[in-house]
Amino acid sequence: MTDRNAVEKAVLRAIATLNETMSEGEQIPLESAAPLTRLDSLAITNLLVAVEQSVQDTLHAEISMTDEQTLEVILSEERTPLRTVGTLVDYVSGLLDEARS
Amino acid sequence: MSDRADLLLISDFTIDNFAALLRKRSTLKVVAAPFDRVESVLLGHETQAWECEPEWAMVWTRPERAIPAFGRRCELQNVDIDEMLVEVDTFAARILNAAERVRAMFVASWSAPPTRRGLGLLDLKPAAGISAALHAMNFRLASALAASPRVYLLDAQRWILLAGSSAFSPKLWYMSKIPFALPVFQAAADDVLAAIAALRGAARKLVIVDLDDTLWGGIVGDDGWENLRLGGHDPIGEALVDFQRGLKCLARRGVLLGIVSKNDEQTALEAIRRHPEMVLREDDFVGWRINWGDKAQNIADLAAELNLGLQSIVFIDDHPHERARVQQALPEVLVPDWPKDKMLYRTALDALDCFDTPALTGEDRQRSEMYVAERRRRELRRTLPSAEEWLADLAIHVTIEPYGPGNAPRVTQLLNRTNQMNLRTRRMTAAELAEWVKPPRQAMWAFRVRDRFGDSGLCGVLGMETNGSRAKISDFVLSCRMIGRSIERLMLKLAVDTARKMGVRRVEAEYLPTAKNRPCLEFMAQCGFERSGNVFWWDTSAEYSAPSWLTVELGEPYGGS
Repeated sequence: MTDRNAVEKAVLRAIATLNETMSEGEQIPLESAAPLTRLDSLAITNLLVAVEQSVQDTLHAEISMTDEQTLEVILSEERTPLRTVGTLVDYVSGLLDEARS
Repeated sequence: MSDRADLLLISDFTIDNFAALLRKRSTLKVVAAPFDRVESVLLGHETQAWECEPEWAMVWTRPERAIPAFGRRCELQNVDIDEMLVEVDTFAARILNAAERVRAMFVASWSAPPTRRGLGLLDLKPAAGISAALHAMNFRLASALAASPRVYLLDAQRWILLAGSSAFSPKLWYMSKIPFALPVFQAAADDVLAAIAALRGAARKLVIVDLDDTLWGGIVGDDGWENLRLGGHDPIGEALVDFQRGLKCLARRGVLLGIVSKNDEQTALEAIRRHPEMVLREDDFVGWRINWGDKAQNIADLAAELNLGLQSIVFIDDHPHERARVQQALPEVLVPDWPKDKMLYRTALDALDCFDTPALTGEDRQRSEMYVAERRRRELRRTLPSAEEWLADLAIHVTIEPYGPGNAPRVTQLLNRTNQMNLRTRRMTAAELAEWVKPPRQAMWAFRVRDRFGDSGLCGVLGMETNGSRAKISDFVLSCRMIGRSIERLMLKLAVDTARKMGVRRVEAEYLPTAKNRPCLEFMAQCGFERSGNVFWWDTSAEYSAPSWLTVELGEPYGGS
């Protein structure tokens, strides 16, 4: 099983990177309950690529957030993990479990 | 106009991340031109892109898009390099044309992903190599843009190197047409903001260094100068010599060097004079405060002695407590975090981006010598009973020359960098100034000063425009080093004499206050002109005199720099 705390750190690191490109009022708080529902398409792309890079840098694991299948889930209204930081962490943990199984 | 932009970004890729970073790190209003319409924006066809009347613009393109012939070579088609260079010339001409719309235009040089190996062994062969073509194109672009005082080519390859192996992001490119990862944009934003600060005259002018464990290794008071770590077959000693070389390079760019150190002065100066590995000697420093007093107070005293504002100063010290104390007491002074490891000192120094200037003049290269001569003048002053005797003893010689190509870079620099003796603080680029002096009713003169201690170079600028019976002083600027030598009075005399010759009855000087130009108000208040509020005037039917100790000469109209 993937260490959820470690995944959360990696995701928060990616969000901190994303925040670099956002104005004070738009920035995402670095906490589990912070919503991710107001991101525009460019911010979503930035976030997905930043999460991939952060997971690779900090957990030394490779996941793809941008392949067709994953993107379909991420962009779907019902199944999207982009609700809160916490749901994104759960989703990334699942991807890591899958990659390691 | 409230909708006016500060910076227009013109690019053939999605530039939003870069724009967001610039907005976040500054107060600039940044606007992006329509995506991938570089050519038509530069040609002025996209009129709405220019409606925001930007003060600055930046062009950042991908080489394979901007230069189609290069794109074909990237696909390994047989393309002659001359074909690419013709396209580079066309691109450069469009940039030069568009640059007329702004105060200055920045252009990112072309770069390629470091992962792209091209033709490998043959990639630097001009006949077919991709890297060879890229180098040639960048060199041609730099040459084509060099003559323009409005256009600055920025080294994008440095941003790529700083960002490391993941600088280019294929995923961001395929998903959003963003070629670069965020670190590239961060490095670029640092350079663009430094460039704008430079053009606004905000460059730092003085680096003050500590001595023990900063300029050399060890404590000179305890170890003796013979035992300091400096040079020799020692990595720390070599690193500190290299750090001193870096400081010497700054001095050659016109940045002044000073010392503030807790030490016995004679002991420290003996080390500077006698240690065989010292790169910097006494005459490289324009002043020092070497004593056991508070460093913040010593920095403030040294700044006052040199007539420099605290916002002009960088302070380098190995000791975190001293840095914190200075930062807290003098927030305008830049106190960079400094590495503990002495082998990283030179790297930390080279990374500072606060010294950039839009031009490098003869005065810049000689600035340290001029300030050292200044120190000797002050020493002479202490031996003479009155200021008048001192000024007479200096044998000051002033050459007045009209503005022209030979002095334009230095005149522009003085207008943009002088804060204290500056009547109206009118900032202008070289191109704007060249336009301003064209009408016959507007004129500008430069003042060169030398005395028996040396040549102080071009120190003063007077701009004047006449309108009917009135002449208005538009620029009255004197280097802070020259304040109090009566050059100010000579400048006013030139304004009055010129106005009288033109049949103008009244010369007016309106003082526009800033946070830093109070010395100018103090001079104007006692210069003899009549005063009404912040407007000072002289009736030209009366003579305005300059002190007899000044020898004045009229120079060539386009005197050399």
